[in-house]
Amino acid sequence: MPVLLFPTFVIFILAVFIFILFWKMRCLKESTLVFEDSIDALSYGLVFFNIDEKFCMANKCACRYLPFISEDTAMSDNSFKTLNDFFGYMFDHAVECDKGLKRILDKSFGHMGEEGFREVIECSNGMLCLADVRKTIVGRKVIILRDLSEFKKDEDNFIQLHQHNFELTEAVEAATNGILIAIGEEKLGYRIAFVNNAFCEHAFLLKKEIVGSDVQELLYGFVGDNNKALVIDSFENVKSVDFEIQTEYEQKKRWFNFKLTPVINNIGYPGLFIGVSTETTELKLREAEFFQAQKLDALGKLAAGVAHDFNNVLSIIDGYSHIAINLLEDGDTTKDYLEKIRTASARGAALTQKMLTFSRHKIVVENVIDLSSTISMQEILLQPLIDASVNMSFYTYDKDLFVECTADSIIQVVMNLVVNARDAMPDGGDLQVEARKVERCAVSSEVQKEMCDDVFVCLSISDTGHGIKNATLERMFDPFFTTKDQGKGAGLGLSMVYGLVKQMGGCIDVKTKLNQGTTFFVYLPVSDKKPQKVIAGNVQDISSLSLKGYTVLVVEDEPELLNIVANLLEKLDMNVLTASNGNEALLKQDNYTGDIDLLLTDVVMPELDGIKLAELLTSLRTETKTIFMSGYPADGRLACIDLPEKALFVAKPINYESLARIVFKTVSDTMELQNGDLFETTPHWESSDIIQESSEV
Amino acid sequence: MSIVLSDLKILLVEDQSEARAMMRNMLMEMGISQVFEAPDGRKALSFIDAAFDFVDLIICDWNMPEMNGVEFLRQLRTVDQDMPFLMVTGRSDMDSVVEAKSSGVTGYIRKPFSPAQFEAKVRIILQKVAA
Repeated sequence: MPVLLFPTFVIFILAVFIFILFWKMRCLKESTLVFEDSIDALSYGLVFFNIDEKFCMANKCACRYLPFISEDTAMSDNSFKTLNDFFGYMFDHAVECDKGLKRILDKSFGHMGEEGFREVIECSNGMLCLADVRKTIVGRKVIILRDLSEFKKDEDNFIQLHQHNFELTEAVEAATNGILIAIGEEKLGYRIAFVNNAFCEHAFLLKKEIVGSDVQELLYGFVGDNNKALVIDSFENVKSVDFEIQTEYEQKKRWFNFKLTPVINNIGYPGLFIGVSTETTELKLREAEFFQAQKLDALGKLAAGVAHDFNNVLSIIDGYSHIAINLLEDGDTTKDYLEKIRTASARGAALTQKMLTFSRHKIVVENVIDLSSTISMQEILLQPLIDASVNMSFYTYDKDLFVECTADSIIQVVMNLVVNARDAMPDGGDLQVEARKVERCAVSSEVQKEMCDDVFVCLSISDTGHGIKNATLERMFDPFFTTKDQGKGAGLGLSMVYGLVKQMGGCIDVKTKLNQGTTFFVYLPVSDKKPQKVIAGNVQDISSLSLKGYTVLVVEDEPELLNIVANLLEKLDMNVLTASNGNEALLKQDNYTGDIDLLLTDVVMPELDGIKLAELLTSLRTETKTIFMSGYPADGRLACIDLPEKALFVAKPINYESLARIVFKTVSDTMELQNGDLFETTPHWESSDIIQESSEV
Repeated sequence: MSIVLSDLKILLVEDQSEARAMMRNMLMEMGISQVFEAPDGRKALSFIDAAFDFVDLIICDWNMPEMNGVEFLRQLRTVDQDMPFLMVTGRSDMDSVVEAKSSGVTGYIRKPFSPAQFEAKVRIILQKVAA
């Protein structure tokens, strides 16, 4: 029995073993299946290699990524059996990836240590995969394949975002508005995270000084004490504020509009504050200019209104004085008094004329003058006005400074500015009158705004006097504003200059420094026309004489003689107007819009004689010079003719050379004589039997 | 055609009696003695109505009560297109000159004026009409 028991026992044991073995194998298979299922279920590919680096297995995902490998070793591609084969494939299909992607990969999957390496490869279907080669503890190699399509998308988004951010930053930096962003919390305060260049420029600070600083402290400095409360209000009550500020840096005033806005974050707190500063200096200055223009316009209108009534009064004063003078005998002292009244009334009339000059709008002047020659001629005339302690000098740097205006108006401008310059230097100094052409880029921005040309004529009058105070600068062109003592100036000089320059289409700029001096710059547009009036030639050479553009009115009742004289004068290139009697001459001049530089008239004529005609015509046209001609003088004497003092006289028969000479001398001296009210000019002729002053007659 | 000042008949329209007398004096100095006066446009107009074609020249101030110079001139021109008319005024702005010219003045003189300027203007107007 025991003998039978033993084999039975052995068989039983064996059976148990076999059962256990089968059971274990079943378990093993089960767990292998579970393992395989698990790795197949993974969302990334796994490829295993044995210790001898032979291909072991791959999961489904890996097979999908790399279709040339199969889960089954036996079925795998012949060319792909070892790790080296896989590396070959990896290097062949490696994709160059940029820093951004590398950074994302490192961040997402951790840094690659020494245990392996990683490469981005392009799989067969064009899909991007990250292949991580790692070593297991037992020394197997496992390759983890991850789909990078999502990361690629992320990276593209990141680049796009980065680009977008870059563009936005650039746009904010390029903005002319100052922009400030402060980040923080209500309790801890806000610090400046960002400012653009414009803000730094507005606040006169450097970026590095601003960024990181406390926003409230910075803003107190920027907005000034007056607006401090508004800034506090904005931070404390979380509300948007908008106000105007004025800054001054190195004596340059600037105005800004500043808006501070809190931005509420998603949890309902103000996470950041945005400040925007907009420069309004230009607008402010424009407003001031507009206000000034309006004020001057109103004053001009007022002046014109006053001038009108004033003229009415003056005409009565002057008229009656004149009548009274005529009633009195010569030598009566009352006559002198009345003459004084007439002089005063003439001064009053001149004053109203000045007021009107100021208020008048731009008028079209056909006349073109050469500023350089007009200015040079003024030097002799202005010299008597200037004290010996003042050193006056005239410079013209360019030729052909053609300007559309009358010589008279430019003389008025120069004279007024020179007199002002003189008065600014009671103890003497240097006075310079300069004329030149200037380029647009060389003038101040205020002038650039006024003038649209590229080149203008610049007339500058500079002194080394006491300078002009700021308060005076603002008002100096106002009519009746004067800093001179009472009775010394009516306050119309500069307002007239202003009016005249405006009429010429120009503008005035002033540079002044207290106790150092002042320069007035008068900018005038350059005319593309040439001056119509040109004096040329030498008196010694009659044929060379030319008075191109000058106008003469010849009055002679003898038609033949009128013709001859007119022809002779045309040889001097003059415009010749003719009239056969005094009344006709008056009408001729009335119809003629230009200047009449010379009246050449017969003395004895019916209806209206030459002397009366000269009186009437020059009362209307102060610029006109007169030369009388007559056949009466016998042996050099004019019998029975009462010629006015200093009259110029040509004897008949008319000799061309004598006529040309006297006409040329008279006309070319006209400029000087126009200012006869300032300077007594006595014509002195070196010749001849035909030219005589009446005192000799 | 020659102008003989002493034969002229002139109507002087001016509200200020001093100014009127002054102009009358000036005219008399020129040798014109037949000067008729009216203190405003309305009276001047009734004068013209009564004595049509009687005067040779009207000298008239611009600013007057009742009827100003321009209004008077407009009404005058409806009955007489050619009557020489010299407008006297303290206004010297461009707009006023243009307005005066457009309403049909023959001449225009600004105050204050000298007797010479006044005579010249009168002569110019008469010459204009004669020509």
